[in-house]
Amino acid sequence: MVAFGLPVVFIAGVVLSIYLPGVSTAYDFVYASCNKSYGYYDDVCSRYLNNAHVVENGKLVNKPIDPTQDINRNKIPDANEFTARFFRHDTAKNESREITLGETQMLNFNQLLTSPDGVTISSHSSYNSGFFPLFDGRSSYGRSLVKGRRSTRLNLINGVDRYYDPSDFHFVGWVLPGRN
Amino acid sequence: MNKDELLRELALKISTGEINREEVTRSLGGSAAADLGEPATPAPHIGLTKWFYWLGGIIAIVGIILFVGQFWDDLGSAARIIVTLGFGLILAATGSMLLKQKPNQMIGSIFHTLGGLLIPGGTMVLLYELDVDLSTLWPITISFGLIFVFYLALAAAHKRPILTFFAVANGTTFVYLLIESLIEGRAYEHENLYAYLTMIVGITYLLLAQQFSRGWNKQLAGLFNFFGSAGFLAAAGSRIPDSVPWQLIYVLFVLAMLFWSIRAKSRGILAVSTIALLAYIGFITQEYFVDSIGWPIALIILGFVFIGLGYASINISKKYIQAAN
Repeated sequence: MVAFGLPVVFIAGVVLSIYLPGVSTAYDFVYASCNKSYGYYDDVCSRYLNNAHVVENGKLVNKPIDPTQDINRNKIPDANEFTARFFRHDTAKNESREITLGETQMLNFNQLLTSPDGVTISSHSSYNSGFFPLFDGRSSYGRSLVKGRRSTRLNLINGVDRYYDPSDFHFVGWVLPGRN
Repeated sequence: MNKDELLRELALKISTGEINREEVTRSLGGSAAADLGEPATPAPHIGLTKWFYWLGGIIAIVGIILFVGQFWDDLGSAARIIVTLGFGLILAATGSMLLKQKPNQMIGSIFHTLGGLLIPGGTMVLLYELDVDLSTLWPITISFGLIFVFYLALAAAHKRPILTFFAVANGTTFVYLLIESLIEGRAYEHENLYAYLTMIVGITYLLLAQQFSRGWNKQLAGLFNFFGSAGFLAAAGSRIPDSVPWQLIYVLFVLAMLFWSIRAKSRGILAVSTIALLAYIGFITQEYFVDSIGWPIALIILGFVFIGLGYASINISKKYIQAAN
């Protein structure tokens, strides 16, 4: 009976990790990524997005980019090399949808990294469901909603090499108002 | 119970492995070899009749597959289901009848073997031909769950190792499919999860082997010891390359498995553990020592370590396992 009990306990653990409530928030958020990435640990896109799009007074503002700026010194001006793509993440469904720059500019954003109900987006180097120890046998990158010690993995839209490149994610802001 | 009934009952128990000849003669107060008039160390053999049973069974199943394959495209849905699942169930039913009528003969187990090979595939044909929605794994998962229960019931009814084997094989498939169905489309690290699941399945097999070694499933103990230890150590070993904690823990697992091989008196576990230890030492050497001592020196050291481990393994086998068997 012990022999058959082990797989049963394992399955119960998986079911628990699926159906136990994770971190939730009443607010959606918007993030951006570039149309191209340089793969492993490349932060060129992130630096470009930080310069080109900023949130001021709750609105996304385009900042003029120096037409000669070439962060990665590949002789292609950043303005010609990169295009920002924007995604609105529905936190209730845990799914992302691409939106246009115009749609993004019509939204109101919280100025903080933490949502009004206390949730923050944090990167992680592996997924730990909280049930299985030593779950980080293989490293992978992703982002989670975090509140206190609890976390819920986000299903973000994967750009080129996003799996390897945690920097290819630019948080724009929490969308106001929330669902409630 | 008269003499004939008593002897028939005894023969049945011996044929199912519930009791062996040595235990019978020991209980009569004599040595097995002397009392039964057999050589001191009888060589294991399978009777010619049994070989013909198995050979005939294999030839029959290959013939059926080739024959059905020729006409598969021309067959309708019902015919496809009948020649796969239907035929498998008929073979299983025949096997069960033969086990009841001729409990001392292998023929019933042969029919069950053929049925057990056909039924899972036949069930997939049934799902496909009934146009069941296979966009999720749930229908296949539930089917294997039912096959598992079916063979569990048959094994309980007939107490034959071949039925236990099919129960565990289908049960294992069911567990993997169930996990995949549960996490399908969810953000899980599948590789990690399956490594853990394979470790759990490995331990389960080892515990089953321990249980089997004392009863009518005795013939399966060696098989499950081998696959249990191989599954556990391979799955645990797959965690090593990118994880220092696993590199530290793994060696303890291998040593524990070596001790378990002595406790379970299993050469299968001993062989798997020795190979795992060799692979582990090779990996650690390549990862941490090659840069400092260079490949030539590392190879010399590894060579002697491998010889030493091989020698130790053979000695453990001779001293603790062969002697006990």
